[in-house]
Amino acid sequence: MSQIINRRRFLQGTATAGALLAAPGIVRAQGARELVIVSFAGSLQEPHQWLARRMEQKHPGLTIRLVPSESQDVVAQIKAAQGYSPFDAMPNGEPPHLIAIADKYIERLDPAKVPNAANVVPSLMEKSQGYGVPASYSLIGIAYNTDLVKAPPTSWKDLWASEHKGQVGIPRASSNLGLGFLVAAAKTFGGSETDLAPGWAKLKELQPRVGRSPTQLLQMLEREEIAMAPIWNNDAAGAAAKGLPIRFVKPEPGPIAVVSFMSAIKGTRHPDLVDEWMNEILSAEYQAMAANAPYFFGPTVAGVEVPEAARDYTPADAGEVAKLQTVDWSRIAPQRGAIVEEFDRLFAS
Amino acid sequence: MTDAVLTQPRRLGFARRVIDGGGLWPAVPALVYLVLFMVLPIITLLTFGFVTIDRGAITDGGFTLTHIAGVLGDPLVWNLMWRSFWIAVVSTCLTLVLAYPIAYAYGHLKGVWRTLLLVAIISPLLTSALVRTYAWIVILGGRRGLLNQTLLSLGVIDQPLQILNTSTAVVMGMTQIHLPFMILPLLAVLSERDRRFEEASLNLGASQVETFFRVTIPMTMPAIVAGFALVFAVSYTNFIIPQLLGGGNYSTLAVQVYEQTIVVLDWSRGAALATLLLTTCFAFVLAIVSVGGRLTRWSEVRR
Repeated sequence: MSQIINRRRFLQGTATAGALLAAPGIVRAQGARELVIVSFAGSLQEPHQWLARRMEQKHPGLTIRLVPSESQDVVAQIKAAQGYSPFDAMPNGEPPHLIAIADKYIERLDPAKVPNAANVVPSLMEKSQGYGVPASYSLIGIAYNTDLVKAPPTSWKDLWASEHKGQVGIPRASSNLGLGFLVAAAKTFGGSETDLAPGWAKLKELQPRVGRSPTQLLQMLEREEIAMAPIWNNDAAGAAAKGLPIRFVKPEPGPIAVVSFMSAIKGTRHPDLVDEWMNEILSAEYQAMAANAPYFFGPTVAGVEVPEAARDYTPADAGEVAKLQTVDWSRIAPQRGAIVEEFDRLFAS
Repeated sequence: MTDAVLTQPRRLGFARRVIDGGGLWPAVPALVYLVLFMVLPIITLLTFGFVTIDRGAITDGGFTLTHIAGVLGDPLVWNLMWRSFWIAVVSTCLTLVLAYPIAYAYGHLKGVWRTLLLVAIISPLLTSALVRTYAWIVILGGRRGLLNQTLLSLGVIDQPLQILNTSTAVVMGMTQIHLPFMILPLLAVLSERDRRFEEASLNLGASQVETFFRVTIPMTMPAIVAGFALVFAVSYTNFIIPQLLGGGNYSTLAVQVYEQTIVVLDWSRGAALATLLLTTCFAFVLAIVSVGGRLTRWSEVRR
């Protein structure tokens, strides 16, 4: 008998203790809101962190969780969640942005709720096709290891120079970087977005070492496995800022500019907060901060000054802006799967 | 003194037998967990290979063999399957060659040395395979890798060896990372074996070498087969090691499953590839076990 009472008391006691322990969390949860935003990895996440802290201060009880991730696995999670996305907003380069619009997992922009969108450079705003906001742009150029390369490359063709045969790294064609470089190679040697054959032929001729991601390419440069590689300006800037012997060049006839959009994910629990997040991304203060060292995200808002420190990484004058190459991603995005397969047939089989 | 009377055990009633469960009840939580979180997701995933998925949802087309036929008719898939198989066979053979002497030594060591060896064998399992793979990158990577730096500074080589991002790096990584899975089954059998058989062999005039190959190895054949099947299965289906040590232009069947599911987002093709990976792995393991069964037939009691 006493054993039963003891057991009962024990269970009652445990339940009470559990409730007491959980109570503060439950009470806290009543006023708590959490915004989950996909972000960049490493130091490139810092501008987002800065903005997140600012919004958290403005809205007591709000927590902004930044998830560093490649957009690829995030998309797989969003699709698997079937309308119950674990994320509220995400950045996308142009190819995945077009895929996201076609696959209907990002929300259309309501310009009335994001007033700063009116300040965006009109040609960049057009590229968003009415979804999300153009947050920044980045350049695909060439990064090289200064210990290995004495005569820095000046044009895309220099990747094929005989003295660096076998020492050039390229990204897989599954990434935006890889797709952009494939188009750059095709255009450099007489092809185009609709005629990638010259690009494929030149990639094969290059006998490259292949990095699985931009980060892996940078590590290969650092370890002197490769001497040069096509890379994002922001990634090259981050590596150089750490003191690594890595430099970035904007190759002739021009680096490839790729716009990055910030978009609300369909079914977000906090559409108003996401609109505010996008509006803040387009604020002059955020844009100027992200455009500065060591991030060098190209500003998309008219009138934001490009700092002197960004001269090596972003277009320094009107002449350089005119040289920027853009890609007709509407031709490339739909055949991304086929391009990845072609890449594996050429290099991985 | 009375003779013991053997009585038939009393037959249990149906209800009693269900309650008794033949000892199955304690396993029920684990079985439920496995069914919910492993069997059902695997079945779901494999089903995706036989339907068409568009924008994350199954289309109205119903059951189709298009994806599996597409995979089976693709020379790239056969090339990558052959590579997965070949890499798994080579690394499994190497683990066996390296693991056997260690397990053998363990059986002959005593006291603190035995404990130290056991700790050395088990300790790699305490860190994740990812960390151990990264360690290989530090060792093999480029001119600044430990290996190349050492060989260059000793003047053994003029140009750094290109090992990282090749098949060699994948085999080296797999062999080291999967070594404990081969050592542990061998260790259990080798340390508990009946040494009198070896003594008898030596007494009957066989040499040490003959005794090792004709008595010790056949005695440990069940452990060799178990270790071989285990290491083959984990090597054949591993995708982290080929991805990190093989580089961007190196792919296997398992890497393709990841690429198609996560990067290309073609879940139907990814699932069809996963079906192929799972069934071929099952077939290979079955083959290893049946060959092993033939090799250990001598140990069965003749009926």
